[in-house]
Amino acid sequence: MSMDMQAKIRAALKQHGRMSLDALTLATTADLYEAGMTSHASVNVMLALEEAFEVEFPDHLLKRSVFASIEAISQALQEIGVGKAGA
Amino acid sequence: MKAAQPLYFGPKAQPLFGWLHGVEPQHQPALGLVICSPFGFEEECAHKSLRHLAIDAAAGGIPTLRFDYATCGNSAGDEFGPGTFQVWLDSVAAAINTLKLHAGVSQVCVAGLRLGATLGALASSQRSDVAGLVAIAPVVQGRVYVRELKVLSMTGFQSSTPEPIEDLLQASGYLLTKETREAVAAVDLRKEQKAPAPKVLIIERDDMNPAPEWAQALQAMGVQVEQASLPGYQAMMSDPQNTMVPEQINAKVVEYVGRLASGMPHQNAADHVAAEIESHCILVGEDQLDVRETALTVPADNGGLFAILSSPEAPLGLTSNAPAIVLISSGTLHNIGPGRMWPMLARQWAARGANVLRVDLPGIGESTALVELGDNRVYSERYLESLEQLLRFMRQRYPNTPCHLVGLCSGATHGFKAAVQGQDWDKYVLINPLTFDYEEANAANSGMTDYEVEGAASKYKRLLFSVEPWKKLVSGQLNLRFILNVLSRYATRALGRAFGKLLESKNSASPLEVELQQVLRNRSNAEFVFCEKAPGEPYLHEHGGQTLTALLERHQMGIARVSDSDHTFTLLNGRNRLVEWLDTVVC
Repeated sequence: MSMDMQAKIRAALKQHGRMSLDALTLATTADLYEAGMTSHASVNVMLALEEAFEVEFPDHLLKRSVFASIEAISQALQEIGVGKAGA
Repeated sequence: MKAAQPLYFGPKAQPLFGWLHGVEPQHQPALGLVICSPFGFEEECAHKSLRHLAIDAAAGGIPTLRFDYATCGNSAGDEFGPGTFQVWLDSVAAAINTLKLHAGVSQVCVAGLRLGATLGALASSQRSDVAGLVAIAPVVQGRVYVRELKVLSMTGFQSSTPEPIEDLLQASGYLLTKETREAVAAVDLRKEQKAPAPKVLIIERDDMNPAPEWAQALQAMGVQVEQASLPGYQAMMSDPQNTMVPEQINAKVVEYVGRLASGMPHQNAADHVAAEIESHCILVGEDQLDVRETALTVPADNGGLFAILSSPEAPLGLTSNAPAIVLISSGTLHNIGPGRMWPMLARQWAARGANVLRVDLPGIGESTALVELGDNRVYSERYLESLEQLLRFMRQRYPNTPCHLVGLCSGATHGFKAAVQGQDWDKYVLINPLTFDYEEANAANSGMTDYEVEGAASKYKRLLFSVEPWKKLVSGQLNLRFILNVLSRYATRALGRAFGKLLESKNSASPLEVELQQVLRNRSNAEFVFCEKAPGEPYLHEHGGQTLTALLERHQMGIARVSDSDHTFTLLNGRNRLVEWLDTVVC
């Protein structure tokens, strides 16, 4: 995961995740739901990520595990082409 | 400003429920305001804010109607029927007609939030009497909105996917059939051929970048479009107990509607004969009794508790020994209960002969706050007075009938406290109380309540011999400080209990056991039901002591569990299991 991608994910989480822990310093594998992100907040996180990366998560990625950690979000973004050359 | 009045309107076969916020005759209103709510959980969150918007608009001389779409809130119908999306659009049309009838205005402005803005726009485009539209954070593309609901549905549960049921989308307790979902997904306001109104105000949420395409499409049709981005959206859409009225957004809407009205000829109040307000409706039962629903006010210290009574529309001479039941909602959610569970239960039980009251406690939903409490307060001993007032009301209305109190979450805590206090309810049905202690529930200084400590400690016990959590701990993925805080508080409490028992003093009973002893003495009957992993259940067992055992042995108390459910029973299967259990103990 590039630093730029991680920074954008953290920014989306900070603004929309409503977590008790600081999204900017959270471990990349830390469980975001454990950290206080609700399902309602995860909807806004998804929208913010789509806006930040100019992508749309396909239906098969609209699930709890995809938004469970910074690492998982990053993997999902990479799966849909973010971070690849020309993407 | 006139007091707001609850009313039923629309088709007799599927009556709609709403609130008319009238104005004094001297205002001679030029136009009225119809408020279209968002759908589902967003409505639960925004209910308070839209109520305040209606109050503010009426105070500014704009008669206002807010309402529940058919199949939503306190209106008739359920979400399983065909043509739900069209029924929602028809509801908007019925609301516009009703406001014109009651307020004597010939033009209206429609203001909607989220899906309400979309429904308002689509319904308005079919009419010539909508002078303006206010769209707050509108759902412009239905497809995107359905994806949001899908995320909500998939992320709301610990398990990876909720139990699939016949292609229903289950989003925070609200259901969308495939047909409704497809109808919503097909909406794209940018592609509409007819303008909703000559003037449109779009208030974008301030936490996302605005999408200008709809505004541009409207302008291309000759619509005068105003756009604003104002703070308050996120706070308004917080959980009902944390929601905050977006003062700037509401002020902007009132100012805009006032501006629209100022350019119109005023009605002559003397020419308008006010139509009669219907404060009740009849819901036709298919193979059971019809149900009468009546909006009423229960006399109380705050000036009155708003409630809706569901009663059997029984033929003369038919007697029933069905109970009188009062439903208390969770947290600060208004009288529909989570996922609109209360209207469904009330109607079902009323069709069997019961009289069922779903109520707003002071400062919640439609009920005025007690001055000393303020509004949106979840826990307070003062609510026990409200329960007494409700009991008195039901006893007077239905003498010689057993009276049951049914509470969910904080409503269950209130019920438990009423049992401790020795109120005269015949049965307390207590669903998923999180806590048994008001003081502790309101304690914010520790940042974590005792029941949360118990819940977290129970979870750690379960995971003690699993490898994964230890791996996470070692790799720094878990918050060690938080875990240590939980364990130290849990240990302190456990030691205190053990020390007390060692001394064999009378004081060894925990505060909860002392209260259970009072329940035992009062001969109160209480039935608890918990979802799986609910923190209230282990708390009850750990602190209930021998008194809990005695209550259970005497069948003065029962403890049941509903499998595969979350705290507010947002999944249909879990909810159905809860209802099955409730049917056996309530009605």
